[in-house]
Amino acid sequence: MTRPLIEAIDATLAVSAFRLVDRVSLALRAGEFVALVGPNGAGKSSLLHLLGGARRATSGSVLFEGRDIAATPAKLLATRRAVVGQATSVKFPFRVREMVALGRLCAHPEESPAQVDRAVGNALEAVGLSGLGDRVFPTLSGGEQQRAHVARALAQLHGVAAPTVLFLDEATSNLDVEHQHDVLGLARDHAQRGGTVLAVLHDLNLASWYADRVIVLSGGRIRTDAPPRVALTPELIRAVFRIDVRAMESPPAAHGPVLPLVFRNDDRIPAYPPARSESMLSAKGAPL
Amino acid sequence: MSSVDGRLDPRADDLPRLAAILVGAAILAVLAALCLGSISFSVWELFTSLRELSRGESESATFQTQLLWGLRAPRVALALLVGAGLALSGAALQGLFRNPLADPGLLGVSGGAALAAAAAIATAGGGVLSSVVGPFAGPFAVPFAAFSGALLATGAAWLLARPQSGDGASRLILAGVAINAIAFAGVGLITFLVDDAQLRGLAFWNLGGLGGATWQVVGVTALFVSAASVPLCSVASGLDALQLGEDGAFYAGTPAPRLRRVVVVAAALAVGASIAAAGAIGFIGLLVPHGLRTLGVSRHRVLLPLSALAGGALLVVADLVARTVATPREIPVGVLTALCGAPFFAFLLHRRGRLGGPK
Repeated sequence: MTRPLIEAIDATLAVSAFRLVDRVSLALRAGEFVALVGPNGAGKSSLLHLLGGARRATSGSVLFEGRDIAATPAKLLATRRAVVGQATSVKFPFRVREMVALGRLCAHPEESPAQVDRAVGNALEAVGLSGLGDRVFPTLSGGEQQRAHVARALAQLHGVAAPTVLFLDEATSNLDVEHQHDVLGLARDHAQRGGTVLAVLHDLNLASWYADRVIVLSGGRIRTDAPPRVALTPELIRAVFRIDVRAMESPPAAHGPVLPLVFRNDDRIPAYPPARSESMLSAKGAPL
Repeated sequence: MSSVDGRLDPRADDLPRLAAILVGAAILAVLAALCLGSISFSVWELFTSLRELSRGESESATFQTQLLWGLRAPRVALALLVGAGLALSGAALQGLFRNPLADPGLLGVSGGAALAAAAAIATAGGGVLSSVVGPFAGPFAVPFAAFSGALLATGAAWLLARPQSGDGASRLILAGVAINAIAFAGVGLITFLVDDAQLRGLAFWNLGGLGGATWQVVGVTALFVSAASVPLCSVASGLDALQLGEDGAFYAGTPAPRLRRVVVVAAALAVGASIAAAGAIGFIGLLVPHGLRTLGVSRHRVLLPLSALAGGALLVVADLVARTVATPREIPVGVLTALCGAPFFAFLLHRRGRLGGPK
């Protein structure tokens, strides 16, 4: 097996006596889409910040390509991994184009404006915001802002030859259903091109649909780390989330109630998500 | 790629134009400030006297030349420097705190400077301070005290906040507020204790003025303002990235703690030097970067130099008005900037609210 891009070994993040992340060991490899799920307060974001290098493990270690991530310069890391956070607000009237370029400028300060423009243009096109590049960022809708942040992350990693890691920290939480699938479809494209995706998700169906592996976190500890079909059993979901679910092998009736259902993605069902001829997802994403 | 993808900034044409307008305005402001005053000159006379000066005939220089280059020119130069330092620091601090209402006084700088200056004025002639400050005694005792007070207050705010982790920026603001409150209470106490003559000195200090400008003061201020502007401009793209939050900035390649140290130290130097040279001049540091942002300048790489330019020009004009509008008396320039700045600020807020811009 290939060497992991990012690896946590017994990583613990403690604030005073409270362990937000408790002796977590995991590996993220090239080409993987990993979903991180768990109840609120399970330590998902803290784990993501540990793996991204923004927090230091109080004990244990986090390695980036075999080196201690704390010893890896922030600038170098920025060329290899990008993070889309939860609804990041921007106070000043940056244009969308300028905001998307932020990711590019710090990570690749040596680039010419034309190269930056190309990365920014590609990223905006990928998230379907080409027409909004000149708008003032804070005037966009919440969903558009979030997609622009995804574009910023894509621009940051654009054209990097080595495998890159895309972190999505509940990045789809305030998107509508269509754009949730668009963003996760882009992330899956990233994984299929040899990159790595770690997505914190609340929607178990999305996790089940997109991820190669699902890591279920509870109380700062990993409950399971396995392919969705193995990980998201009704028993585990009952134990961790305290709700009863029924896993279905086929999609519900077209007019059925919208309920928290768990799909199994072994034989990814073509009808879910619904095929849309114009969408990026059906164009490049879903392996139909 | 669609047709609108051609350029990073659709106002790339507008930015050089804005910069050119600001440079032009600054040159006009400087010329006007040199020519107009208790004795007015024409631009032609300005150049003749400059030629006279450059021939090195200092003993034989006319009274006009002495007035122009000995008194008025250093005053204009000081206004440029102080305005530039305040506006530059304001822009950088607003970026650092991600808050368009941040002001150079926020770090406790103005409070510390005012308290130290007040203490120096109150103890002037007492010998205690002058023995401590040694070579800076005499005419430089008060500015030196103000500068030291500004740096000490910033240092105290920094230690109080210890912004090493988490949301350091907001703790730093709160610490600055606390330091300022203590310092101004101290100023109030000193004001209550001193005699009438010292009270006048204190009032001048709190209202700000450029009357004390000499080439010596200009030189020292230029040293500190330029020493601050180099690191500030070098972290411009980091300040952009910081708008994504501290974690966001790190993920984009700029660790926030180093950025914060650079900005706080540089801003304290520039603002401390400005206050030491010209007293507390309000609103320039708040208003100038804010105004430029509403004109569409957001990236700090452009915003910081343009703020310095516009701030310098604005203070030159404000000082010109302050010393000419009620001759032979002088309005304290700090009063004037607040008097003009506050309504302009209110107008900007009103306009932005109407356009439904960002909160």
